[in-house]
Amino acid sequence: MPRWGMAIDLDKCTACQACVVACQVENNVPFVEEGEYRRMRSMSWMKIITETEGSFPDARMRFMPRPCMQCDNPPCTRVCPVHATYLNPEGIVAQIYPRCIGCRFCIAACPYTVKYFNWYAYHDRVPAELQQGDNPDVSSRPRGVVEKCTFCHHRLMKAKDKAAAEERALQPGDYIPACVETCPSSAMYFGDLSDPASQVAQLASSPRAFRLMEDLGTKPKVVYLAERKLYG
Amino acid sequence: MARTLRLPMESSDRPLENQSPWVLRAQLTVLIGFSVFAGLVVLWISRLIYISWMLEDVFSASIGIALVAVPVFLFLLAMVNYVFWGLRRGRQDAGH
Amino acid sequence: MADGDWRKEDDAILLEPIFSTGWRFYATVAVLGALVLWGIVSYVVQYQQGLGVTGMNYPVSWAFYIVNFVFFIGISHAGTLISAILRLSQAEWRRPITRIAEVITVLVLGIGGMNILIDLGRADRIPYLFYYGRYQSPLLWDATSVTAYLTASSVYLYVPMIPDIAVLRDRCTRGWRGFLYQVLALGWEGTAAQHRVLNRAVAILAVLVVPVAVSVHTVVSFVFSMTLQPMWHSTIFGPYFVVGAIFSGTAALLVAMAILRKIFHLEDYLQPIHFNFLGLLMLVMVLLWTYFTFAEYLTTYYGNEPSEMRVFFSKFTGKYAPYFWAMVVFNLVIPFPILAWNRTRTIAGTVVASISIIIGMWLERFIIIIPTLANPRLRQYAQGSYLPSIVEIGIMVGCFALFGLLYVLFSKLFPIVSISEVREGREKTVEIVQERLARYKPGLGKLPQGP
Repeated sequence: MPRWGMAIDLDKCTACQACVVACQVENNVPFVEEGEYRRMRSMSWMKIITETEGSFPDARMRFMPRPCMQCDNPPCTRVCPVHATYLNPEGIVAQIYPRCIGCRFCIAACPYTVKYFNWYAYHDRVPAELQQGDNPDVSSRPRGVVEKCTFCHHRLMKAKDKAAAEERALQPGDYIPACVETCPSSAMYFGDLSDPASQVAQLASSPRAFRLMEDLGTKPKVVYLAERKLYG
Repeated sequence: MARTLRLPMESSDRPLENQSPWVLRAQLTVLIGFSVFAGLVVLWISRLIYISWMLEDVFSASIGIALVAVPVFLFLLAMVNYVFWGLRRGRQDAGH
Repeated sequence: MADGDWRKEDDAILLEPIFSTGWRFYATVAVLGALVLWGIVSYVVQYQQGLGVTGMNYPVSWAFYIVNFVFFIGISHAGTLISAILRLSQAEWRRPITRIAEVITVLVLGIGGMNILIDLGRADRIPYLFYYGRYQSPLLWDATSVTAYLTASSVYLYVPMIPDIAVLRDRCTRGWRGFLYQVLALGWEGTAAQHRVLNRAVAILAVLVVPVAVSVHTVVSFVFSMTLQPMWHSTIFGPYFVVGAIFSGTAALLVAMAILRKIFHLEDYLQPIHFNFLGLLMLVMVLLWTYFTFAEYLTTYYGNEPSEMRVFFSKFTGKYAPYFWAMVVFNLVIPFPILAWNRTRTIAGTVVASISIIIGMWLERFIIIIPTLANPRLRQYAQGSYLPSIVEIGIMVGCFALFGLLYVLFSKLFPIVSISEVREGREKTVEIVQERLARYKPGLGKLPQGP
């Protein structure tokens, strides 16, 4: 059973936010109106977290792309009352939109705050012309349900179908999330963490590798490679 | 000069045979309703145990909670029955 | 005795609200009904448009509804404490108070549970809790224990009420009310056998209700403490919430007692001594609550863990400081001197202290929930913020009004002071207490002989 993970090289990341846009387009993540944005309700499954170190003229911006960590010990699935979010056998923390009752317990439990809630039926409020560009492989979420990054799980289903149709096994590179595919500086790597030969698995054991808030015991499967400057 | 407290409910000048049969029917309906409610709760908890077993999802938590919750409801059901039937049996004109 | 003779009863004043209805009743029902209607309209708006009509956002995704849920469930400990614990400890002064407390419990449990359902993004999917529930989730523990407590406290309200309903049945035989009383009185005649059944049932229920009540507020606290969020993931939450619940419940009971005493002229039954004793109980709870709060915050401060300290300072000196310090004032600074000093522990004094405590405990729920959500571990939101919208305020007002309305309707149908218990007290208290005194030390219980 593959365990899908991601590695992000912070040296190569330019914070261009192509991954954010790609994710939004690929997954029909609705954008919200300005009023809702000001009320702090915008949704972005992939987000660039920024931190400023020091002050002018020695200020330094550090940033890291933050998808869902797809934890192997997810605090969010534990608290869902209706099994609407669960860890599937391939390591992806999946959401079942038709089952979610909108209690938002998983949002409260996630230490990385990667989960988003449809306060209104945002998808239906997107102008019709833009809705035409929806990805037909991804269901749009109604109001009142929680959503988050799924490592473009629909692409995995399509890749599996394709491989089955062609009567071959799933090859590395068949399945790649939109953000990883789009990254212009190739800062993101994706693959099977349980396959020791895969690039992601090898990067995950690099001395530069770290995971966010690892000490909480969530076992996140998104690995960051620290900027080399830290190593002099 | 103590006032005698004549508590009307202790006198037997109010025979209960005068009551319409609908009274008993209503009481039994409520009692059955309560039993159905308790039964539904037990059914609900059992279903949750079943699902957690089928989905291989923390079966032990379901069993643990059920071991505490189900006895509470069954006990309350027993208590309501005890009061209902006990009061009927304890009537002055008992024999009904 | 025929209908209409209720005035010849010894405790006629307790039956007056049931048998005579004045314009004040209709006015109260009209006002409360209007407020409930406002709440219902607010909810309909929310149901149709989505939770976006509230003030919730990222990262504060839980707000007023959850605060009110915890607050109302907290008040439900009024019934348990007074009714069950005082009954078990055979405190004679509980007699006029038990019914008042038990009704509060049943009503606020229902309203508290309703608040959680109001908070759901997809209320049309509530049945999923029954089809697809997972017992690993604290919300399911909540659902189960609140249901258990609601059932247990309803039974515990009803069973001791049977003799009182029999009194009403004998006074009122016409119409739907006569029928209702006949049905509910279960053929009570006051025979010795029936008394035995009832006393045994009440005694056993009193023992059962206490652990169920403790479990309810403990699992409510587990909703927060089972997550990994800063200043939520604390082992103190279980006992802290239970203590807070008993605290706010006693205060709510006291306010209810004062209001009922005024409007139903119950001065003979609810004497200053009842308020005095409850005031002393509340004093103990003030100190206990302060102790728990102090332990919680000192531990956090000493540990100096970065994400927890952000939440801590947000409460102490930051955005939520006004609410935090208001909570301390309302929960400690105002009630403590009033309740500690004999001269101020009067009816008026204890009512002032209780109102202050109710406000303070609501603020405590707010302070526990919102600042932690507003300061997530990952600092991408810098500092979250939250302001309630008119919908949330409408629903909150509607909930309080619904409580008041149902309480008023209850007191219209059933005696709000337990007549049979008061009468039993009148007959037997002296005897009971004398016998008890004799057991403390031989010779103590004997009354002095003659002049």
